Amino acid sequence: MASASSDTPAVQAIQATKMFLDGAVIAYRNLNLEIRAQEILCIVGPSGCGKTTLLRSIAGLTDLSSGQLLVHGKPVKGPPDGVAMVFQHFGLLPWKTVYDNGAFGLRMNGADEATVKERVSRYLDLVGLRGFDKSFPHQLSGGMQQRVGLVRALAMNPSILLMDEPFAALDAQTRETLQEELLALMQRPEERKAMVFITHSIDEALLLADRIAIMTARPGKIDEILTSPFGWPRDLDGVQRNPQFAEMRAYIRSKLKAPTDPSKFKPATETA
Amino acid sequence: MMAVPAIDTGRSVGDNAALAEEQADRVKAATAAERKRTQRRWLKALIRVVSLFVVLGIWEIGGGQLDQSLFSTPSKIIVAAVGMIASGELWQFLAPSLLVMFYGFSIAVVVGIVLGLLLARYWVIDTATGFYITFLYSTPMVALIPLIVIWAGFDTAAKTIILFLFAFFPITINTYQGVKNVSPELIEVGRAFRCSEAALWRHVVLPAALPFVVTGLRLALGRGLIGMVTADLYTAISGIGYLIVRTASTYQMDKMFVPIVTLGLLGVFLSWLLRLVEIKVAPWTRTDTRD
Ligand SMILES: Nc1ncnc2c1ncn2[C@@H]1O[C@H](COP(=O)(O)OP(=O)(O)OP(=O)(O)O)[C@@H](O)[C@H]1O
Ligand SMILES: [Mg+2]
Repeated sequence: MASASSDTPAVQAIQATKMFLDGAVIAYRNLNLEIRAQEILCIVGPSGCGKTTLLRSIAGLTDLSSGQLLVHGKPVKGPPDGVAMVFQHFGLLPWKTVYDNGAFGLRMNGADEATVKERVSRYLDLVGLRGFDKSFPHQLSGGMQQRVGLVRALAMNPSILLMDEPFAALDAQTRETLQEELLALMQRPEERKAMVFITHSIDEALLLADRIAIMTARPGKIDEILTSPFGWPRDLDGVQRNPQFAEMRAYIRSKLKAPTDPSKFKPATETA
Repeated sequence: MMAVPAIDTGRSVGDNAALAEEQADRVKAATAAERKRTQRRWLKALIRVVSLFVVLGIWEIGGGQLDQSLFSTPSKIIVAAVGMIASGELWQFLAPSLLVMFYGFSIAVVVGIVLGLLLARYWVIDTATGFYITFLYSTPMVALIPLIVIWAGFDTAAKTIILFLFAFFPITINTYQGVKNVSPELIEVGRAFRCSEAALWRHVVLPAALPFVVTGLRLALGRGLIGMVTADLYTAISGIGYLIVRTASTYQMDKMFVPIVTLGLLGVFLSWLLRLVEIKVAPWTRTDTRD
């Protein structure tokens, strides 16, 4: 897939603005962001602040209203090379088997069947779906379905992995299992890639991120970027036992609760 | 739902014994579920048989008390049916109607699906012709029969056109709706993985629309049967429609019910056939595999 020299940022947004409905709705405005190659960036922010829209812009699924968005140094025009996405709603095709769903991205990008077989089987094994090749999505639990979504993206060997709240629809235990699996995967040198991971869970962001971007709403922009104090390799227990974990978590939570501008507090009568 | 297997990524080459055990559990679960489904199927069949006996029993006893030139009983109808099947009389009148049904329905399927897809894909075609379709679909087709007779005569050609007109609209409209109702999320998945337009249709849009198309076919079958009898009654009186008219006008009530019941059975049989096709081509719409 696309290879970019490691010093070109994977993604670069310069004064990027996206508006909907003839400008009536601002998803994000004048947003600046740089994601380095192989970096895991987690984005947290209130609902509706434009996180999904930002990810869709990077995936080339929607145009910017103004500003610039570069992937591997090139302006985004349609879905760029080397980018793969994992959806919150899984996005599996119900009429395709687990194997064919996993192979979908590769096949659509013209991979030959030998490559497809080798790569899809490898990732199905890796996420514990061996023996489910011929099952259909509706026969799987939510956690297993999202594993297929992960296989579909990973099998393409993307240099940028876009994850839009991939584990949000799962129960707490399954979510934790999948977080650990993803963490383990990202610690394999050959699997490491740039990843933009959107989440509402501060714990999840702290567990996975190299850096954490906090977005604010109306208009959506990056408010602050925190660098993770946890080094690599890491694991769930180690991260959660680290004294800085609670501290950072409290800080991010306070950031998400209190808008920077007090005038943006809504009067109490409006909130109910 | 099946349990999530507790295999983590650290252990890519899994423990074989555990894997085999898991496989065995899976087979066990599948067998148990299959047994439960079979039991339920038998129970349902039994309930239906009992119900059938009760209703036919009431008809038999009650029907026997009424004027036999206006009413008949199941036993008499069965006797008549055996006679009409053995003499070939039933088939003789059913065959030409079935042939018309076959012609008209086949053309309706091809034209209906193609037109539905074109309307859904090209907004120009939709804008230019969509309102004719709405208009014609709202017009009772029976009203067009005199015109068709003037244009195409009384025979097979006219009957085929009538059948086509009855069956065609639900297929077109459902195909169109099926395409329009494809989840935007799935389309976005296709686009995110860089599908070409052709691939998007083949892998996402058409399979997603398929259940709608099949529903359209089912509606069209029902309307097609109506069209078949209507064509028999309103053009050259022939086929199964003729059989009904002739037996009714001579007050042979037992014989008259034979083609009527045959039409009902035909409808049930064709829907069942369609359901089989649907399970074959769209297995993900099966609901009976869930507990
Ligand atoms: N296609 C669209 N048309 C119009 N408005 C849109 C569209 N997509 C998003 N929006 C609006 O843009 C804003 C940002 O939406 P977005 O989905 O990016 O938020 P989000 O941060 O992902 O929220 P959440 O955390 O709830 O997923 C919202 O106000 C939303 O209503
Ligand atoms: Mg979102």
